[in-house]
Amino acid sequence: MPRERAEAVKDLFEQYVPRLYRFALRLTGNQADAEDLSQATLLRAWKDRARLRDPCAAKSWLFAIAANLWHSGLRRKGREERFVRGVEEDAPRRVPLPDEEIIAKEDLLRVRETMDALPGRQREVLYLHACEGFSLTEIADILDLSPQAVKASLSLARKRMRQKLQDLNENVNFSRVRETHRKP
Amino acid sequence: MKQSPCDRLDDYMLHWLSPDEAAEFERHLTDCPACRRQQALQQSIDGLLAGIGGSLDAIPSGLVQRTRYRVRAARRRKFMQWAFSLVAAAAVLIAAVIGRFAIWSPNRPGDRDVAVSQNTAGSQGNTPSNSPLSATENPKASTRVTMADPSSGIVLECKTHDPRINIVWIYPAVKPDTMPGEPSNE
Repeated sequence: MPRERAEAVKDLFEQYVPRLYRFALRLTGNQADAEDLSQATLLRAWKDRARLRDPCAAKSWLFAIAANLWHSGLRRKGREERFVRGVEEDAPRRVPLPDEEIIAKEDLLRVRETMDALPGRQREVLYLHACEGFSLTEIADILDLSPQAVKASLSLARKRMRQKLQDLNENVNFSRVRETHRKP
Repeated sequence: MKQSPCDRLDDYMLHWLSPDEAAEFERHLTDCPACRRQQALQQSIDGLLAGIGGSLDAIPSGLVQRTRYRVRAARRRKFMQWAFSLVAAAAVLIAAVIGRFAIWSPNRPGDRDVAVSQNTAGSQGNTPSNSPLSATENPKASTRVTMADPSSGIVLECKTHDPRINIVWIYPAVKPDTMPGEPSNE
């Protein structure tokens, strides 16, 4: 592979590192594993870079590698997928935010926690669709599922989210100030 | 069991319905406040989900640099493994060539040490058991033949085209009853 093309591929991959990390966070549930998984994904992508024919497909290809590495690792270890939320939250302290901003951030946290509490497959499908904007076909390729399975998982995930967040829109008129403490 | 029209909310919002089906659901929507509430709720959730990636999950500082470093380290390791394999293969090849030349050398020590075996041809008139001909049957064996009495035979070594094979002619020496110049007994 010519040097210029190799550098271009390397740059292409590196620009997806943050997004891969966020997806890895959805898969693993903690920062350390998410970082390992995103690095392992880039390593595998670099090793198999000759297989990437179309640079436009790099994003879905990288996400597919990440999902495959994670799930094959789980199978190898023979363990159930347990999602442990170990991300430390930011701690807005001392400066009282406007009520709407607080409520908006709390809503955001609630939605994220609710999504993270979904069963593994539903969580992955919902994240790829709603947060990364992948189509059903792309998600099917990434997760090695049929389009019908993706559709079913997405519908179930959305229904479950609505069930858990029924009172979401009701918090608009309720103002409060609260400190968020770091977890030990 | 017939599907309730309300169950098609996600199909409608995700544009999975045909135009006719979508129009039919829109008519249902105007008559169903529950579906309208769920639609508004889902729109709020969708808006918040779209903002999750960029706002809440902070990227650890140095992640890109660490990732780049790890990829480079893996590439260096792979290159070193490849280089080592190449050097090892070259060493094996050179050793094989040198060894082959050593086998082909015509001046192997001991090749000239040809003699009659213990069953000497001169003393008993027998064909030596270790006939040079036997060596050709087993070219890899180097047969060493000794002469108890070097004067009992005349040894002629004949080289062949194959340096591994030497043919040795041994002519038994005939000793006269009297030496020339000595008076005979008649």
